[in-house]
Amino acid sequence: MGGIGKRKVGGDHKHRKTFKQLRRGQFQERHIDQVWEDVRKPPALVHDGKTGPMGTTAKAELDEDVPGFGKHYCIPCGKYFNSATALASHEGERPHKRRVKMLNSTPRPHNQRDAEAAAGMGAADNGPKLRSGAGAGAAAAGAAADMDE
Amino acid sequence: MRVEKCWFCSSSIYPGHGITFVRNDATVFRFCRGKCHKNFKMKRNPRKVKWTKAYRKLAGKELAEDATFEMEKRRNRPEKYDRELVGKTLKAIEKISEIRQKRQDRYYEKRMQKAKKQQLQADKVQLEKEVHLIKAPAGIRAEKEKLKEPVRQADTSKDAMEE
Repeated sequence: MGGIGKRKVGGDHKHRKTFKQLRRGQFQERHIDQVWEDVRKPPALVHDGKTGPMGTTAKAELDEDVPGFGKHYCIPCGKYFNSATALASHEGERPHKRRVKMLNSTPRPHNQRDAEAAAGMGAADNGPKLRSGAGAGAAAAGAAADMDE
Repeated sequence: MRVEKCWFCSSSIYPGHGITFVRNDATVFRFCRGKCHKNFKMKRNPRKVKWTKAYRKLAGKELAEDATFEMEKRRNRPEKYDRELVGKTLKAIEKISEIRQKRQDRYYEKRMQKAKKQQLQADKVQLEKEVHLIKAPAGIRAEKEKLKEPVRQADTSKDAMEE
């Protein structure tokens, strides 16, 4: 993949993208915080070999717009491959291994909550519980889950 | 009215300012200005960009953990209007921001004391290593020899005494 700053010497000037096209392409790839979460989920929840990555609106059974109809997906790199062999050989490559290592060793990427904490804000205040009983229990569990995040 | 915080630099965003980006998984990103938005589009990590609040707090440049930071928060259940409460809150805000300012100043002074010592040490090392920048090498050599001479004389006088 030719990223910004990595220019192939000679050859495909017809297919070379402009800086803007390259940057947009990189932005439209799955973001690091999404991938960070994907890696920690059970793989079946992220990608079942049929559809686009979960949590997006792309849910076609066989997606013609992505390589290999979206069947072969590398979760840590957020990339589609044409065949199972291509995916397997990709998983043996150094960039993939480096990325897996990075994803497993870094803490949760920056998010809005971090931004607010850095600005000197405390945790969100959702007020006292309104309902009692089973509903409230579920709400409390939801709040607890929010706090964990 | 809600004053939001910028995703990138953590500054306040007042209504009608900045830009909001909603990703296709419904995550909301707010930016205070084009600078922050551009940095986000370049996928820069705010924790590694030196001018963001996230960096400064993580690197220990600013007071990060304090009880005074717990006052401002996202309140998702609005309080019923109460004139007395408003008066009290306004007073409390003033007081708390005053205390916070004092604590931040103290933190800064403490940090600068350390920095001063480090700077002095670094200056000394530099002076030793890079004397040639302020004095010509010939001059330094002459000075060294001058320092050596009296020692030699003392040695010879000692020898004479022993004889």
